[in-house]
Amino acid sequence: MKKLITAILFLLPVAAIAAGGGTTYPNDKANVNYGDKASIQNGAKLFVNYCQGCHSMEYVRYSRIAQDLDLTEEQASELILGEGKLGDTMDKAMDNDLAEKWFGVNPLDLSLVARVRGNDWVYNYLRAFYLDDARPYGVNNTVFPSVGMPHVLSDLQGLQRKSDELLAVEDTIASGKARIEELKATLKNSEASAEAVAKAEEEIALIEEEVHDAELEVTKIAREGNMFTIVEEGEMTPEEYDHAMRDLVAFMAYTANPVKLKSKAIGLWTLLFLLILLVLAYFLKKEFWKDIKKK
Amino acid sequence: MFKSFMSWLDARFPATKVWNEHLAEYYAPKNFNFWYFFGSLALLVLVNQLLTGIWLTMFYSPSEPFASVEYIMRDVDMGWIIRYLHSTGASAFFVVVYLHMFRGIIYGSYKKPRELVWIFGMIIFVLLMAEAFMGYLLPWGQMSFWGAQVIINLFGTIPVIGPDLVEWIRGDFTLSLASLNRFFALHVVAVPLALVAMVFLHIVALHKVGSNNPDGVEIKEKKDENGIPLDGIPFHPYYTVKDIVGVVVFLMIFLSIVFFAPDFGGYFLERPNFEPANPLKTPPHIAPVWYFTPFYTMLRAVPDPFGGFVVMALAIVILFLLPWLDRQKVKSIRYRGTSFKVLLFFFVVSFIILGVLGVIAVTPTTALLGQICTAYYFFFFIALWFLPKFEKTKPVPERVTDK
Amino acid sequence: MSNQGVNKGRRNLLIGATSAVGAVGVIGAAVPFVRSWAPSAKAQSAGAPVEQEYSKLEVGQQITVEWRGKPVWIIRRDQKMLGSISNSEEKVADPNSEADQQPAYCKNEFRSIEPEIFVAVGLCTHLGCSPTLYAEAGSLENDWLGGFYCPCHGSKFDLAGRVYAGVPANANLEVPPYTIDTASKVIVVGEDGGA
Repeated sequence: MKKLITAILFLLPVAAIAAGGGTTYPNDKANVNYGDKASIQNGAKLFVNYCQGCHSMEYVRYSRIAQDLDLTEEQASELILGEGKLGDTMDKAMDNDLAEKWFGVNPLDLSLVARVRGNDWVYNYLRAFYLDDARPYGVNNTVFPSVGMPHVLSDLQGLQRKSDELLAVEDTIASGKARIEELKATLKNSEASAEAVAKAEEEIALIEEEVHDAELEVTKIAREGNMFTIVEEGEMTPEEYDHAMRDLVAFMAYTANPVKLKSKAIGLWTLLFLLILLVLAYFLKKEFWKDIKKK
Repeated sequence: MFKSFMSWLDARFPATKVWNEHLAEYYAPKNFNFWYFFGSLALLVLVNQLLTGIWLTMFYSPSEPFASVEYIMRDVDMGWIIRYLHSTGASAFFVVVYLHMFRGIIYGSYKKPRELVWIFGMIIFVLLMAEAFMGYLLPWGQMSFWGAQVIINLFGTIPVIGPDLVEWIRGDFTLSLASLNRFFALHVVAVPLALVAMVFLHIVALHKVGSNNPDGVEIKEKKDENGIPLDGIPFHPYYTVKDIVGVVVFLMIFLSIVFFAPDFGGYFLERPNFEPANPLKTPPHIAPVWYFTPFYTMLRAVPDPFGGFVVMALAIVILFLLPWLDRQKVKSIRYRGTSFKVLLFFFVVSFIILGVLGVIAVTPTTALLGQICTAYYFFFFIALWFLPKFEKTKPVPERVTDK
Repeated sequence: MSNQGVNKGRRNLLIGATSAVGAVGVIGAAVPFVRSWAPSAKAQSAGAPVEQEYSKLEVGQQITVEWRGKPVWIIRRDQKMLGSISNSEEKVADPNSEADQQPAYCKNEFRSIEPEIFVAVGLCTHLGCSPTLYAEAGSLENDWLGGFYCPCHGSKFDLAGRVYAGVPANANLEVPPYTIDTASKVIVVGEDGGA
């Protein structure tokens, strides 16, 4: 028991909780515009067509989307899956047992995912699938390594692999780290001569610097958008695909927090009102406190 | 009409008497400053929590906690406002209470004859921590679950009875809906009742001895021919109109958070809490909500978990003893010596550091810093006991100073 | 402290203005608390219009659908039954459906959009029991023209749901808003709009 608690208290905590998710590669900004209804509508369509087969949004009602995004009844009914009604929540097409059989896990409900992971994380994740033969679906993801999800958007994006540039740098990092481990083993060896130890330490410092530089290089490659090379083209150009993903993320950001815009509007009016009250209250206070100042 | 009704009422109920004793003829020192807003603000936040809490109870369901919170956030008309008022109110409560307590420390408001006011206040503080802790479990998100898991397991470190005690608290072999249901009952009925009762006693005790002030002068010692303190003014209307200004300013800040940033960057509502509780998956980063972090760091400062638990408990207990630990007769910081000011300055700094350390990852450096600050926290209270021997105080004026 | 030289007018004006604006604030603050009691989106979804196909419904037969937790009847009436409605004119309390118990498009002799199809909320307007259909003339008592009989307190209604005079219930059976599509033989209970 004590060990468990010690472990929980000391080992698990805590990076900057506000940052949420930490650094990802790629690390681009989603720049979601909550007020852009066309973008969110397009995202809704993408979600229904590409995601809702496996992922539900069990807290989100079609009627609410229709209302918030100014959809006509006809537009709204285009979103609705199968027999569903306007007031229904966005259930997935697949049933849970089948999902578990196929994927081993039940695909996550996505109502709130943008609020758990953050908009940027989702945006980067959707763009970071790359070919990897070692994985069951033939793809892996740099943002969510060994993810259990196939690349369902590949007909839009096409297929990409890690660029030669990235592979080279990753190779440097991996081999550097392996060499450091090797050298550390030498250091632990008590029979090693002082001279050998000094030499090993020197080399470790050197390689650590190399690895560090390589890691910076990864950041640079990610920033310049050179992480991947398209192997098979999709229906969309990379720019179009990024744009579509921004819309999709906008939709998820909206479902995660559907009152964001309304909240801001109410907040502004409230503050304006309080400002008036403040002025009145201030003069009322001054008026009464004249009694006391006079003394 | 109104007069005859009041005389009918007064013959049966001390309405006018209570009004006069506690408002219209309750003489408060005329030199209250900024720090004296936080008592009434705490009362305001309490009312907010009670009202929004009652409403949330109408829609919340402990049998499907996570889904019913989303039901409140989406399906109940304007339910999200009520929920954000409540969640932001929890943090606001601690902000005003910490500032209120700090006011007590700088002006010596706990000193004779106000020891009981302080004790009642401390009981309120402890109840508030219990209330906040149990309330945080109710959304049944990942942070709710794992935060409660860690804190409840602390009781498991108590020798001999620990493991059985933990099981008894949870009512299950793991944290489950059975535990949530009892926390729910305590959170919405038992603790609020106790809180309201203690707030009542806090005010009754205060009004018996009268309010302290930034000069730490007892205004009741200088009265006019009518027995009214020379430096006192009726609470109503003077402090009611003043507090209204404070309330409006507070509401502007409070509602800005409610409407523009209810998550407050992940400090008021933590991100993992938007994911339903999963007993099989610990989130990568666990941190308590900000108002617990100073005490959480003290807990972690001791390598032995039970030791940490004891230290954390002592940190609270020692606050109860403050009226007797601080033996200096001079109340207000205005007339206390530099030694006290320095001591207090570092106390505030170390308390803030303790709070910050509670949300960041432990490294050897931060662990050491946490231990130093924990040690200083206790050193502060011990030092207060010895301080009068060295402290060079200034003469306290006869009357309150008023510019 | 002295009250000399206090500008009473100014003081009262400020008290009044602050109280008035403060009162507006209190009302504003009450809005979420009041509105949250309205039927939630979940309740509204559960109370959404209900579709019912009626092509297989035979004369004198009744199907019951649930709409907003209430039983809603759909009954097919033939010429004989419609005739009984005309004959009960003198027995019923509100022959012209003056009381607001039906949408405007059902305020007619047979209290329906299509005379053959009768749609009504199957709850007695007395105390909310569900009346029973006795469609055949003479099936309840000798001079019975056909209609509904409430077993709880003996209220009687004709085949248009019009309440008889002198029974405990004092209003006609409620006709819910509905639409009817005679081509595809589908009724949507709860959707306003007539035919």
